[in-house]
Amino acid sequence: MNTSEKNHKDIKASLFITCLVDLFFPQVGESIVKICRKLGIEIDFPEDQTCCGQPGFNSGFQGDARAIAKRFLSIFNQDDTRYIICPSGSCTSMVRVFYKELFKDDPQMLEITHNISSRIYEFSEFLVNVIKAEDIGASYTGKVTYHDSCHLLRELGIKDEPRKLIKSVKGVEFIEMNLHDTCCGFGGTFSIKFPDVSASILDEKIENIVESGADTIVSSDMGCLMQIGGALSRRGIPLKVMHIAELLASS
Amino acid sequence: MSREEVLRRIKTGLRGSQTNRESKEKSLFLSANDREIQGRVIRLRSELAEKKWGLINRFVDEIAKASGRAVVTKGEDEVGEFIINLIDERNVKSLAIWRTDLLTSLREFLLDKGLRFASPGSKSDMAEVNIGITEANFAIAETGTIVLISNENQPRSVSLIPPIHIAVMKSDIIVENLDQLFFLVQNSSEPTSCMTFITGPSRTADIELNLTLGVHGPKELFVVIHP
Amino acid sequence: MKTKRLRFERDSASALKNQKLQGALRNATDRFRTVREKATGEIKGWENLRIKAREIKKHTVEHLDQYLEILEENIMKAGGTVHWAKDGNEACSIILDIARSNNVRSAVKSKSMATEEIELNHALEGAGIKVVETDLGEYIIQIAKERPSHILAPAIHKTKEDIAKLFAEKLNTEPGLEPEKLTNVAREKLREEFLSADMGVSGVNFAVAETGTIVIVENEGNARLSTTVPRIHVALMGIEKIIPRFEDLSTFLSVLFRSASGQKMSAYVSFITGPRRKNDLDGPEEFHLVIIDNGRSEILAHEETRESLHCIRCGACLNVCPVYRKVGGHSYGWIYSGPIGAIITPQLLGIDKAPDLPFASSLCGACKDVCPVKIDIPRVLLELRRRVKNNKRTRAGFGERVAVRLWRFSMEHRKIYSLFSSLSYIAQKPWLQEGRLKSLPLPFSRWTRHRDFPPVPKKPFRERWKEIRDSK
Repeated sequence: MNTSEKNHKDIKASLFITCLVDLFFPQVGESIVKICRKLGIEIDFPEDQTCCGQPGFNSGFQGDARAIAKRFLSIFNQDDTRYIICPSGSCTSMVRVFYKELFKDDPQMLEITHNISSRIYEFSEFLVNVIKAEDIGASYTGKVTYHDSCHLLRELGIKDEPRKLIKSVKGVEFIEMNLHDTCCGFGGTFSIKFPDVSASILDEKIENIVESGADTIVSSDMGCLMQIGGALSRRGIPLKVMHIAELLASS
Repeated sequence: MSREEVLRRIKTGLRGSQTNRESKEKSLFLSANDREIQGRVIRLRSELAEKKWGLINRFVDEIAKASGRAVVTKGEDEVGEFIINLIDERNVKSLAIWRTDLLTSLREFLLDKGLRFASPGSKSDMAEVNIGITEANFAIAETGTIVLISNENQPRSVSLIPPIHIAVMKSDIIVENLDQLFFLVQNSSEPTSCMTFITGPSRTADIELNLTLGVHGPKELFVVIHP
Repeated sequence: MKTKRLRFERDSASALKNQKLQGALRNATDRFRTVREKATGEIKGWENLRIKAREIKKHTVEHLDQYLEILEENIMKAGGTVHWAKDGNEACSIILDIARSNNVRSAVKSKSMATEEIELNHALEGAGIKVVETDLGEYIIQIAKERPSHILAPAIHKTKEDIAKLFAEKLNTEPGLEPEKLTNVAREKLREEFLSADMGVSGVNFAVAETGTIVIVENEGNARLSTTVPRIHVALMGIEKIIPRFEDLSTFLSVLFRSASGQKMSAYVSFITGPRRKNDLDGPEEFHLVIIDNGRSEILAHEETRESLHCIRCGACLNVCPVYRKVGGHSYGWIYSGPIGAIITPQLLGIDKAPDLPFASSLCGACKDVCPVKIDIPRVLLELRRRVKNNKRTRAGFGERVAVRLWRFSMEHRKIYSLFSSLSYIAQKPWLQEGRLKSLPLPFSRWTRHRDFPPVPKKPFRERWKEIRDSK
């Protein structure tokens, strides 16, 4: 089902880059732009964006999170004909699932939240469920295993979509690892609030990745990949760490 | 008094929440009228009668999974025979038995063979009993469970203290699942001091998750099905 | 009751280093998780059962006072006595009174978390009454003088060799016995206790308002013995254990067993309605139900966290929790551990006594997926985190407040955000080793303790965007 020739010129999207990708992994953003252009999707980048507010929300600072969320909503509300695509399951679920908690006492903001929630998608979700593209025409030679990031899996229910995309990449041998849907131990600030517990959970994840025999680990959340990649790097394990967008942009 | 204090705290805690609180006069329980219920009971029993053999087979499978042993017999004589064989095998000295209609002839049969029964009212007597014999008042096919209802003729300790428990049951008391069980029990009589579900012998996995049978309750359970 | 503040990081440190415990936890949680998945996978309509169970609990909790009054009435009709306790101390007093007025010298106990909550054993022993735990796992840890490490398998942290050694030391058995023999030893020793005890104490899994029936589930038979043989039966239950109708038991028993241990049914379920009847040959002469609040009405009063009271103590959340799997039960500092412990301990003891617990979670949500009564544990954790930060005694320290201010300020002002971005590119240079950040100052040192930190690239995405924006 090669849809790289399909033209989606009628589809317009805004990129919600997320602070982790913006600051530490900009190549993920570049990959997304490359893929969108290949598929004929018109993509823009609202330059004023910063954060969705999740770190504050998860740490108990709802008031601060609310202020940042308001800012996010006003930036992405400027053109409501555009989809919003995001390379992170956890940031997407913050907007789609948790913003209505934050604004439950504010009907005006709640309305804007509903509008934005109806058009924001995590990237692999967007490709498979909106664009209906599974084969982007990418190619990559390697044994790839996939880590299900928690919010993407459990809040957004996205499990098959990334797998379909990965399996369609020419040259990829997909391997399902043991306990692929168990948390990697990142949990945002949890990783520095309880670093030893986080590292212990991470140890088992690394064990499972290595045991799978894969040479490449892919996920849809840079938080998870930062956690996993950081351990692989510390131990000198030469596994490739990639965001799914990077894999799909390979040729 | 603490009763008032606890209730007050609860009422206060619930005040102001968006719950729909009915007054006590309007019953919190749905009530169908008696005739309707009796109608349902009769219908259920006849449905179960039609599925009898399926239920028996299911029950036998399930109780085996729980390490219990079910034996299907063709009549009273076989029941007595099975039990006597077990008694000989296990070198039984003392028995305890429920006093019910179904077990009357069995009791007489065993008395004739020279066996004696301990009184469930005596803890020290019961401590020496090797086999306790009861009826099963109901059984649940889906889970391989027998249901015992205690009363003055059906004491609790008979199925509990001895290391071997034999339950004799008629095949027409098996229901399919929990829903049916609770429905029939609730509409057959007032609750007695104790109803017990028994699914296999006593067990534990507290030591390294290894399954061991026969902890505090009986080590063996036999269910003898009387057609 | 606990007065010291619980400290998760400190309490979990030794657990993380204990290889034997790590192995036991992995083994136990893997096993429970697998059987639970199978048992819930093979039942048709599992999801509907969960929804039904949740709805019944929600309705019950919202009419809790009414159902408790109905329960009381029906127990009294059946010849039982109902006592009400505001807190643990009062519950212990009540039970002591019952014991004293009946000249109780020894008591047998079946497993009950509520009795541990109120430290009943301590109170009874203080009054010179012998208390024997009869659940095998609890018996083992009673002899070992330890705390339980898992709701269902309290001695899971002990190997069979540990237990054989313990029995040899404390019970004078032969050394090196196998589990079957160990179990036999326990059976014989405890048999004597059951037959001679004056009082049996149990918990309550469910209390049915409609009929005045309390329900106790078990596999060993010790609860049946404790509630049949001794003359007095005392049952202790939290106010939230009540369900409205007899038929509701079908729903709850169906979800409880499969979630807890992957069984369709435990070996025994006892449905007790009052003491023995006039002509009964056995059974207790007196039945006492002690209903206890001990902080539950406080939980009830907060609508956002009220669902914490729906818990039926199945332990499924423990078995899927990535945190529990590593730290075990003792790290949670009190009787309730795992995800459910993380939400009810701070609510029962007070948020200032356990401010760490709501944060001791990566919010992965695995618990929410398996809870048979659909408690949204992550949501409750988030609400409790908010309470911690808004409570004078537990709110953020100076460092954290500064960090949050800085974070908010930069996220609200893009130019400042971009400035920090450029600054971090420069600031990282002294710590870059072969293109990697292996150690960093506080607070990032908490990251680099165990893993490398990603290097900051020269151009963040927003700068690269400027370059690629107009190209194809």
